[in-house]
Amino acid sequence: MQTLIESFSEFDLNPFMIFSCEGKLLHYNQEGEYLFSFVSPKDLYELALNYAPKSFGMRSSHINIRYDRYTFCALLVGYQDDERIALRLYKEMTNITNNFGKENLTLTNIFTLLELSKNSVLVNKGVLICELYDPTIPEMKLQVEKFLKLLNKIFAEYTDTKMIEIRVSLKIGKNILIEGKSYPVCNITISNRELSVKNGDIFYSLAKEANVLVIAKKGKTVIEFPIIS
Amino acid sequence: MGEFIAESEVSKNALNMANLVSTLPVQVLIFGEVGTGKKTLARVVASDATIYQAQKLNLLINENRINLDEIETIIISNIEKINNVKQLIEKLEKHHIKVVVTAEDEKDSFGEKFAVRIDLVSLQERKEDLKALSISYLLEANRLFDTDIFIDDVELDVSKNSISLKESIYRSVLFNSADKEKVLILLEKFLYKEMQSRCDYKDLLEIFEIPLIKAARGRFKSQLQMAQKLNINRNTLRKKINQYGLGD
Repeated sequence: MQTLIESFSEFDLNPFMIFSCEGKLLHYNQEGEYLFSFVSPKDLYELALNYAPKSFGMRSSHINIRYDRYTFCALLVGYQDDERIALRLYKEMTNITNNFGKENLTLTNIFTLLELSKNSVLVNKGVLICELYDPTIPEMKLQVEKFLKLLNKIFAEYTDTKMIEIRVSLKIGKNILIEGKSYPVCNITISNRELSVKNGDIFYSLAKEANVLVIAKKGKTVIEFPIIS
Repeated sequence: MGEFIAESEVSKNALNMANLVSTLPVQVLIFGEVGTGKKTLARVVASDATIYQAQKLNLLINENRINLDEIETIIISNIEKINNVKQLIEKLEKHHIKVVVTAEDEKDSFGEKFAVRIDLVSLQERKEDLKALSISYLLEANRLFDTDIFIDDVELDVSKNSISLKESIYRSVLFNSADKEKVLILLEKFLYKEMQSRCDYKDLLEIFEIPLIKAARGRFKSQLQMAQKLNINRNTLRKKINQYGLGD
């Protein structure tokens, strides 16, 4: 039977893990397991070593590190012997439902916004655009101005590439809960295999303003948002 | 203000964008050289909006001579001529006004303030539009002056896009339609004005002689022929060509 401390650790909303001195995973909680789908244990072990205290004990540091959709604002690293080292990451809690002002929303067609943004930024740049759209996506309410500015910033990252792919689809099996109501999720993926996004931080601040989620990684940028009709 | 002519791919694209954005509550920037059709396109985005010069609007706001609460949509031209673009747009945003601005030049990267940007390239790069616009202006001018001039007889000037194009077509049609009587009246009026500053006969003679020599050269090519046809001495002709700086 698990002790209270073990249960607390297991169900903690922040990822926690213990590595051996060779970097082998010895223990992790549920959030830790989920985090491994975005970042390898090896990278997290490296992170723990980089922020470890100089001698036995615990050391907490305030950092800003992002793995896929999660941003962490602090971490705690500790070891009491030479055999094991523990790492706990603290999530920066952002929630898509926070400050969701419905009064600024305009019913619009997502393909119209893509067309406008694409033409505002990529026109005459010689970028070949491959579009894979799901035409069944209905009109939805969005903060149009902010959403367009976010799209513009993302497309601006791709102006020097030869080809990009824009994929618009429904995210199967995922819903977003807003004020007790569940909404399906629309997903826009803009990708180019070779490109690493440089201005990811600007995307996140614009995404926050537009109340959508952005994930920028090598080769692609993904925008997720609820379909509020 | 006429209809936005969109025969080339770039302008079809621009017109399509203008139509799409006309229903959305977003700030729009239309960018392009003088005479590329920015204001005409702005009218597609916001058909009922009043057009203000950026400097004039600044003045009206500063002197509280405009009630922003009564405005839903506004078109601001030559936004590059003011230094407080961002502040002005933010002020208008606070009053929930949809803003469509036109600019010939971009400074302080104010373009980022706008969610939609429509670029209009010069008429030189829009051959199909140039042709359609030329024909449209020529028909207009022919109707006005009751002439029947063909496009091949017109010297087109696109240095200032549609502005210089229209001017060059109207000028060509006017010149082609002029008869002796009109030219004499025109000359008389011109000389009357000119005599405010100079009255010397020899000095004013250039007004008759320069076009005469140019026309003769166009028709007869060599100075020998020109002298024969004009029935003047070759030396006199050469002297006059040098005097007016018309030598090759």
